[in-house]
Amino acid sequence: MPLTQEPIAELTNVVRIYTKPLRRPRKGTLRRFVGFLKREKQKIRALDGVSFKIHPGECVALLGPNGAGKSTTVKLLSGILHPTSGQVRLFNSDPYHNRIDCAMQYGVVFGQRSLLWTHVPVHESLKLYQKMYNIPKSIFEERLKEFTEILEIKEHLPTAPRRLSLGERMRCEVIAALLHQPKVIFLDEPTVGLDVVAKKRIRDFIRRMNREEKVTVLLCSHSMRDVEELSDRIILISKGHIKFDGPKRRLKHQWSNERKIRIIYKKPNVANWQNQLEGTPGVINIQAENGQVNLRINQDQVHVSDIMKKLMDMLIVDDIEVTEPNLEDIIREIFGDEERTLNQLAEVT
Amino acid sequence: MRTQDILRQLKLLPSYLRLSLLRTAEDKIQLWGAFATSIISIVLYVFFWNVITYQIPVLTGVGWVVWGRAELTFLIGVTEIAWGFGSFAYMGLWEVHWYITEIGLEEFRIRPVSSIYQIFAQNFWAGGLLQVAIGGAMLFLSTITFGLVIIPINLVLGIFALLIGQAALYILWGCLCCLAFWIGRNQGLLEVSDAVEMNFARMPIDIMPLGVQYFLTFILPVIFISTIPTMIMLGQLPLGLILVYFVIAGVLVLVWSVVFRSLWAKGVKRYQPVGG
Repeated sequence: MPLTQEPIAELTNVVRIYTKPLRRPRKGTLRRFVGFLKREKQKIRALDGVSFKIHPGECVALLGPNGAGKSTTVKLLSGILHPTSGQVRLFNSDPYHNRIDCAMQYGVVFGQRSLLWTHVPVHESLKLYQKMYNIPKSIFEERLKEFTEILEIKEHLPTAPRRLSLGERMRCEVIAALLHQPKVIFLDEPTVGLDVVAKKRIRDFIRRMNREEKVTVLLCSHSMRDVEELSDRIILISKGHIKFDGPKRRLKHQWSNERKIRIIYKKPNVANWQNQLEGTPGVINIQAENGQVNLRINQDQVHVSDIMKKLMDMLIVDDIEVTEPNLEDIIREIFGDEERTLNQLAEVT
Repeated sequence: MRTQDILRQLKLLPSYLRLSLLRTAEDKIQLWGAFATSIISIVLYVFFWNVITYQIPVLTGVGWVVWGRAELTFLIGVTEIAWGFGSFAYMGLWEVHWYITEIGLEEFRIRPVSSIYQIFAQNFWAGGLLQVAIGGAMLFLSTITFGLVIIPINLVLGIFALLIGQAALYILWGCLCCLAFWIGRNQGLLEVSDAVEMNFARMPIDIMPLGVQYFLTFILPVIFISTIPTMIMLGQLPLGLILVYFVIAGVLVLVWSVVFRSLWAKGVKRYQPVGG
């Protein structure tokens, strides 16, 4: 990762505030009437002092729960939104004020909305973009042929997007975002709602663009598979604040001392086995139902073999599985028990 | 805006027109609906003015214009042309509030072309040209039936008046749409201006009381899309007065354009995405 190069995108202490009508029940006819005439508004800090840099060639995943500020970040970087305060830089210029120049050099995919013309055949929209981005005809045709073959979408080009399935439409959206050879691509949930085959096609294509064409990628996704497979660096964002920014392996390393144990048992040997287990040092979490126990342990405090021995004594076991936590478990853990885990992360960063 | 951007936008115009034709062809029911609406409203208004002129043969305006059956029938044709061209070219402005509050501006803001231009061009509706053709046929029929003499220079001046007046009216609409950045959904406000236009465009506005005339000239300039172009085409206005109307319409276009640009620039800055 060439970190010595100038960053391609940079946010410095960015704040973006949204206003939203405040609806609260009012007592009394007069108050209701006044409330009808004059709506109270509340301010929401979608981003609250966010700073990070993205360097050329990086593939960065922006992760966070709904409403964390991921899409707002993408929209600020693509010049759709203006920050309330702070500075947004893309290609060393302000993407809001130099929107047209910046837009020539980036591509965007919003999984939740179509950016193609819904009522005209896909290839007609693409031809329009060819002229819009001044793509030479030979390059356009060559890239279109290559992309449609990779994504297996050629037969759908003469169809209007509204007649395509979600997966087919998303593949077309990805092509539209990459035809003009952008230096950076913003992907906001590009695989949302897709089946596994369509997800894989899109992931493989993005990885190829990142590795072969050195396209910088900023990926917002709820799919941990996307993140696992595509990104090297993770930015965790929650309630408008960045909670972690670093390599994926560092995030995983923090949880490397943890193990997940899954046990399927016939019946317990002792009545209060769960209470006994909960009191054991190093046991982080126990979930037991329908003859199955899932527990997480910290290996620094207790060894797997000791726990397994204990379990064998307490339960008549059918099956046991011990695994390392994957990224999805880690993220679920982080945003499920945010305070505790973010403190842990703060120590890491 | 830089010259290279303007040139690129001009270069894109044929593509947008082509896409507009394709889109219109995709939705044939809407096209036939517009056709039927045009024919029905023309028939109704011809009937209406026949009833009026049967009882009052001639309506007089401010003293120098006479509206008989022939002129009123001609007026219906001009209005149809104006509405047809409006549907073709300005549909996007009518949709601005919709994009702000319901659909989102993202698809326009991520492309390397002016967002306003894209909203305009993406909403060109080729079906409007069918209405223009119907209006043209109506003009032709009324000249044949009533023996009206149209001098080419008057026709050209009339069309120019119609275009400039229409720009003034629809840019004002665009300004009303932009208020959606501040007040949210404002369909009701637009319905009011639409109702005024719908009801007054097919009337000779110069026969109305002076207050109404001023309102429909300076505030909501409906007079420029039908009454004035008709009077110019029929050769009922002296050149001096034509020039005065051109200046008024031109100033309105300029003022509303500046207001529109300013509202748009300020509004986009405070734009909040729709649905995340």
